[in-house]
Amino acid sequence: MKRENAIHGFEKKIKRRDFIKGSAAVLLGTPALWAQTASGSNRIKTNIDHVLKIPKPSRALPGLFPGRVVQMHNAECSSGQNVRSEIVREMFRKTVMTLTDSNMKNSFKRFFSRKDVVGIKVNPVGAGLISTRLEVVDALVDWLVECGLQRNQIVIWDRFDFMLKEAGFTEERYPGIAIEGLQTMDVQALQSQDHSRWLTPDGHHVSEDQFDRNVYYWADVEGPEDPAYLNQHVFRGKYSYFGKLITQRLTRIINVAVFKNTGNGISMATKNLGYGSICNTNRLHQPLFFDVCTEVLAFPAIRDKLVLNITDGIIAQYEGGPGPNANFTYNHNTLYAATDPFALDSICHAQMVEKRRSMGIRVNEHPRFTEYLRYAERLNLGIADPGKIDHIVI
Amino acid sequence: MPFFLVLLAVAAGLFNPPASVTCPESGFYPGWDQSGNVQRFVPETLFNHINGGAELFNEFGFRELTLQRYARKDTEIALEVYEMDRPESALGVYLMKSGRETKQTGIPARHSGGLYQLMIVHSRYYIQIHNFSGDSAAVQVMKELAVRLIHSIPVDPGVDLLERLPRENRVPGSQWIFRGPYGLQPVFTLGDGDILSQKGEYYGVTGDYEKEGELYTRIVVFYPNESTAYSAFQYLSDNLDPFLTVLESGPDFMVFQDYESLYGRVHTKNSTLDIVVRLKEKTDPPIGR
Repeated sequence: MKRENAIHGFEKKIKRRDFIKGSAAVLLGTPALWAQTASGSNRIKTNIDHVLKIPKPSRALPGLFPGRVVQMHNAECSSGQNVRSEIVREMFRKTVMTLTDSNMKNSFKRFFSRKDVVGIKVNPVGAGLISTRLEVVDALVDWLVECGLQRNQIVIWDRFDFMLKEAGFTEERYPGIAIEGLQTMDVQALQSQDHSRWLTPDGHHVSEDQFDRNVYYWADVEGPEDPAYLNQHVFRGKYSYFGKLITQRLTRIINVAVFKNTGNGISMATKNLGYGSICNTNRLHQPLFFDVCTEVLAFPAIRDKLVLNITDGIIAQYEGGPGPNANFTYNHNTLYAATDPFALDSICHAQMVEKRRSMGIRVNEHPRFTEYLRYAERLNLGIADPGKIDHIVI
Repeated sequence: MPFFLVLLAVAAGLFNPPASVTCPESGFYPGWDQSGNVQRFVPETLFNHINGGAELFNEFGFRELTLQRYARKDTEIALEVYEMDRPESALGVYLMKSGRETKQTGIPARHSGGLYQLMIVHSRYYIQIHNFSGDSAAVQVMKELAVRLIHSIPVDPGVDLLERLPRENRVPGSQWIFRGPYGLQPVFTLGDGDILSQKGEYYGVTGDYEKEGELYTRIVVFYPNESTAYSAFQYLSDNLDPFLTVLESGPDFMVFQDYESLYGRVHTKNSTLDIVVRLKEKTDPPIGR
């Protein structure tokens, strides 16, 4: 086992901060102003300042181990699309035990009580190719059950119900465990023009009641007025409501992202929750994009419940993401674990840059693609500075 | 093709409705039938199919996606045909999606792919064929599907846009086409939004160059006339990314330093913006004035 403070590419970035530290220091006063500059001077307003006033409990993000990231590689873990579940299970156990510096039973006790309702947020996009591996979730579920959680206290969830099914997260595979999408979406409706499966006669999305009108990410931009958008996003105004599953039922969250890119950035731990916990998101892509990954995680519904992040890098994708692109997937055979999703994404971003570069992919290392991580650090949600990250490689 | 003809063709394309392709019928390969109905997506609905990636297609002039699945027993492949407004746009999308090209035998169009996916560019169509299961028996089926489709699509004039990048010192295979901020994003950040004033109409090309061990990137955007190019230069000057520091400037050029302490230079001449970035030395920029 070795500890690495930083990955090569990210060290460079830190040196670059000398160039910008003068302007950044001026902006430390108000987080909203800092965010505004993080994404450009015309950055639209959000309700982040209101959210930051909500008192933060001691075990909220960045969780029990701020800045600690555990990484384990095993070349035997997968070959092509074939994944060896017994190796995944062992890798999972070792990463968690290394993270907590204790055995699996005590690790459970540090994160959960037996009364908790635990949500496992998976990423089912790119079913079978680049979605969260079932073998990783199997290992997670077995751990929770072995430590005394009832199966009916576990929910495997994502934003879209149909994607969960496509990716193999079914009740048959996980008997007794709830498999829940925050919303439904009828992908056939636009072709058939039959909107009855998602739209009520009075013009509302059938999933409206699955979102909590009292807990919302507000941003001063609206979604377009068309059925396609409403079908996918449930609401179209300036409010992105959190799923009731998250705000009202889950008491703890485990986040199981996939190691993949989105353009020059990554679509891993923070994006899996940032865009997976709320509705009405497409409007946010252009004006806010990565800032959403920070600001949505600042809400107590995530900030105070998220206890563990696993990034599934068994089969990873270095280009063409966040959607699946088989030409750019590879057997990375690596699992990562952290309580701090921002430290985890910092490490993974640097590794993604190195991978992309090694494969001859264009890499634009403009600071804007990692600014959301430094923004999170300034909000005390996580550690982004590689010099402070305790990166443990098994 | 002269550039004014390209512009005319772009304008004409805006008023032509999409010409839906006809997917090969069931039985195009023994045992393989269409699975489900054909699906079509237009610019306003594309995000339903590729959420998070539709913006790039739309920026390039996407017109219609035709999606048809084929199956034999438990094995399924999917054909996606993206009709773009021009061959330049189809090639632009292809170059962004394909990465290092891996050739297959017997496909009569530019392509890249392997077991899981084939990517093809032909005329103004960008085509993807997915083999989700990775079943090696489906590879020949994918090729046959590609060949049948390619033969059903009329051939448009070839694309010479990339040849407008100077050849000398150019790194082979590094050329790229873009038509707005999403396409430019992987190359270099010059500012927010449509920073090069391409307005979804004017193409840009980029490529990497190597001279005496120095690797740098050249970006050239083609406008319809000098005044439009000059306006684009002015807009860029006024809205330059805050991480870039202007060191020198004049009525038609500027020199800047970036966040990695590398240098860049922008120059407008004739009806183009000529930009060089990631230079190690500020002096002697490798563009003529």
